Amino acid sequence: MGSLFESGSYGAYVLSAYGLSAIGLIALVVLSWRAYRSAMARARTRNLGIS
Amino acid sequence: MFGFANPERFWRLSAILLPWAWAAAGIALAVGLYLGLLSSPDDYQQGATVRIMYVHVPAMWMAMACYAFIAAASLVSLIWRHALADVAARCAAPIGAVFTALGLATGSIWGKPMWGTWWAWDARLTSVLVLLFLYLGYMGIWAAIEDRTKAARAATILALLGAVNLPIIKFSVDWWNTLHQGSSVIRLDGPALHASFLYPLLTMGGAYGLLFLALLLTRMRTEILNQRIWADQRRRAANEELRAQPEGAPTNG
Repeated sequence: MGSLFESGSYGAYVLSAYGLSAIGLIALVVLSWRAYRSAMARARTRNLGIS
Repeated sequence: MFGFANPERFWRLSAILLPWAWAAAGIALAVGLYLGLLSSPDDYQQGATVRIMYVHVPAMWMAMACYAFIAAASLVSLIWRHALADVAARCAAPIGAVFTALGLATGSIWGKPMWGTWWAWDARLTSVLVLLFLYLGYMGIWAAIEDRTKAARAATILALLGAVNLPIIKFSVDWWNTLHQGSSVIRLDGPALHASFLYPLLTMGGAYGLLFLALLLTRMRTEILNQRIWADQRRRAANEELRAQPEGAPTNG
């Protein structure tokens, strides 16, 4: 990890790439989970026999 | 495989698979990040920017694999009309679009220090941009057409036509003189990478694959739930309509 910050401006490119990937993937995971939990809650309210 | 396409069986099996897929994806990502950011060495030419490869290449692998999955599911839907095939294809599209966008963005970030430019209209980059537009078009069709049967038919046609772009992406570096380097992992004569770069890359590739599986199962279960809720709404509305009619009055249809 230390080499990332010692390699001049390259470290900024590496961290930007990882940061952008993290933001994109975390957003996808959070949105998918929120939609899933919301659908589960609505199905339970309607007694659709969802376990 | 078609037995798994039964929605009830899929629902039961996916409930068992889902926590394992999320756990495996989390562990593989943690190991991949450790190998990619902390354990692997710098490249003698690229320096630290070689680490961008561990998020860029798996994103591009998944972008292409995800579109191949959508095309295969669309073909199954077209020929055998399996109920889950359209659901699978539709749910995979946003995941593939995110992987494609991340692949383009991280490639661009790598390109600036290595090529001296954020973007070049080179055959590989352009064909991947076309892939992103195909994903957006596919999602747009599902969003724009209200009738699910018509939407599925139009989306299937686009998915199958768009699959022509996959070999173009893969072989663009061989067919044209491109700025993008040739394949260094998936080659007939074996990977051209040293093990110290190859293992972090393959670990991250596996992690992205597991993440795709976990996301796909989650989104497919959400879609099945939404369809059941929608069917329940229609059933209730029909019952209400019947109850509202005076006794002995003729019913529609």
